[in-house]
Amino acid sequence: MSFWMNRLCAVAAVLTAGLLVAPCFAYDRLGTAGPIRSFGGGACTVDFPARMRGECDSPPVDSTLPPERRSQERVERARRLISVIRVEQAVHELDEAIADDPLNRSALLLRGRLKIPGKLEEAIRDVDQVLRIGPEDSDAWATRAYILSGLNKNGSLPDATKALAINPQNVDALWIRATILTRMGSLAEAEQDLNSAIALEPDNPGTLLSRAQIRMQIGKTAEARNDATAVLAIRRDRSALQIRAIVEAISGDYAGALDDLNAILDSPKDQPVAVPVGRDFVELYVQRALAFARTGKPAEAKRDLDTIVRFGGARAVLQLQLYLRNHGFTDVKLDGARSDQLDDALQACFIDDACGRGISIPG
Amino acid sequence: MIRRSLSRLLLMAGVVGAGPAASFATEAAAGCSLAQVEMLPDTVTEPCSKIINEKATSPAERGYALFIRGKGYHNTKRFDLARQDYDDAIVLTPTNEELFVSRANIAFRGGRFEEGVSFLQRALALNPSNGHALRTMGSLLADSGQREEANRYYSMALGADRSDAYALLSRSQNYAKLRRFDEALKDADDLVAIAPSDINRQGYLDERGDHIDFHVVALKNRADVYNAIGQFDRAEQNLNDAVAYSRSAPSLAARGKFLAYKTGREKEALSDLDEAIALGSVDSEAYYAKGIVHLKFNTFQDALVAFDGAVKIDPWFVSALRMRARVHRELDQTDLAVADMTQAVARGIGAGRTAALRDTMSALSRAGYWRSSDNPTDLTPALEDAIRACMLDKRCN
Repeated sequence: MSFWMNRLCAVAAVLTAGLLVAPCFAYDRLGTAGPIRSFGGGACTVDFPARMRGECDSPPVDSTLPPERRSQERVERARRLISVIRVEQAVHELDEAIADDPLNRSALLLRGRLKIPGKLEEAIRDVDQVLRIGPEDSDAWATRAYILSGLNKNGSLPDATKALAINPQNVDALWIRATILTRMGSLAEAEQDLNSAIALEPDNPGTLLSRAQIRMQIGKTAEARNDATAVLAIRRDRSALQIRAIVEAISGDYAGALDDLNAILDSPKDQPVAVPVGRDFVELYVQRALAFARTGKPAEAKRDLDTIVRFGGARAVLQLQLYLRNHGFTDVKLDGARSDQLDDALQACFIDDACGRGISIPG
Repeated sequence: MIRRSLSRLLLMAGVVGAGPAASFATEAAAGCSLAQVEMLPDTVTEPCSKIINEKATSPAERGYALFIRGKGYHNTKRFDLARQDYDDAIVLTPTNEELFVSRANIAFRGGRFEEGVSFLQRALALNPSNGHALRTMGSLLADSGQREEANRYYSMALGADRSDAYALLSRSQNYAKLRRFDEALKDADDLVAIAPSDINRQGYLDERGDHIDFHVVALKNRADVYNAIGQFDRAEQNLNDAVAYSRSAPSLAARGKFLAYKTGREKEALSDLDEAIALGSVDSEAYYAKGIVHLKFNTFQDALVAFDGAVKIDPWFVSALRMRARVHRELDQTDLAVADMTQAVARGIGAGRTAALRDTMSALSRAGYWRSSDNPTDLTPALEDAIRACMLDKRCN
């Protein structure tokens, strides 16, 4: 499908050269299956509060239209609402669309996909209904595969495979099956699916990033770096920067690693302006501390470690303690509290190089 | 893994219906009959023993009496005695195919999988159309993930006997797992439509070997299907019907478990679950659901008691161990929390239960305490450390 879309875009570009203002997307911005690829992107010039008041919403659907047509118009309006990040309103519009025409598969599928974040059980009911109405709907099979995988239920791989049997060029289905295969540990097969997806749609940052992550896991670091660079050519992406930094550090290019890490983190100072949250917090600062240490900047390295301990909370301290205990400092207490013993171990491990030369925190 | 995967087999062949050898003249007089064992299994021992011990009894009659007495033992949870009788009966009546199906069930209950399969094969060799053997084959296939093929066997079993309640129940559940809910519902409807007196002649033994009212099981199954397709009112109506039909531990536990996971219904859930437990419920999932409700109410001590009950009934209940660990953590009982979570992970690894393990490992991974994307195969010091870190961190869920 993407191939034909590309061709159509090319033809349209020639015919209307100079007239087009909006870019011609090679793919559906929302994607066709699984989670919505990207929210927003619609033209809306008002500020955020005005947007939330609905000032960018498109006009309501004409209630005098026949039910089936009205239902489809509501789906189109829901898509426009998603493009101005009015998701709740989009779901409401789809509720109405389904009330108008309970057999409207596109309404059911889109509503199901919108419910994937946080309402998987409701999402799968919508998708099941789509499959009852249209058992050959590749996107619905792929979406159900994704949801089943999220619910830790059996059947996700067969569903994804069925989606691809119906439409081998379903890019989202390829990505979904790759995700499932990755979870199952079948990384080579996952990479194959992503290769196919990227061949069909080379400018999709999601699939490129997924492939970079898989390639890191299977040791294809140079290829992973290329994928990460390709992602960064499309958009700023912290995960891509992190992957590239790790590859650079592995190959001894600590200056390059520092460049990428500095693009993610604030420069070392007493208090970080923006503290990355989640498991990345410790990992990123540790990586940069190591890069600083390797490039002869122990003071900066120490400041980064200090940032972890001072601003990361008990969880960050626990992560550091685990890391140290796994790297020979088995007497470091595992309690989530800062201590002189911890500070000494950090100094020895990271600044004095007692933990070896790996930049990433291994499992 | 085997323990869990056999559960369907255990349910399936607890009791089997009349076999070809059912027309013995001595049956009615002696009270050693299929009809008797179906209705009152604990009453056949004495009359059957009399026939077995009578010197003049022919080998065929003795074999049949052993079969009936074995079924009596079988249906009253005396599985070793049942096995002895079945084995003795097989020597005397080697063409009684039902005997082999029952004997297979005893093997499955004892965890002797291959032995069970071999008895099943012998039953099918005697009669390839034996419905009870076919449905058990279906269960074997379903447990190994071959659900479509399993349905073929269930359908063949139903071809032999349209009112085979086990086959209907298993096919309904199997369809639901395949997310073919229309078919699941149709079988569920057919199952509920069987008159309670008829369906209970087929008997239903749960995986512990306890006798459960089959009509309650049928209503609960239909509720499960409605629940899966989001028709919660209908699901609840079926469970209400089950309670109205038989206000018992199984029916109340079923409704309590349903309500426990419905927002705003927790108090009603608790009432049902408490009553089920007071009536002697040994349903570990009922205790678990009660623990979940107490967690929602932040009544941690009560939750602890409930999860404790679940683990006592089923020491392999990994989710209950995990939840008990979390309650210990809430109560700042770190060492107890670590012990429970470690045990949960060890059991998950030991039994190869990747789904149960995945939840724990996901929590450890999200918190940044575990970096590998693979499930562990050993309880290493690094993993023990990660578990302790998680049990020190109340947001590690």
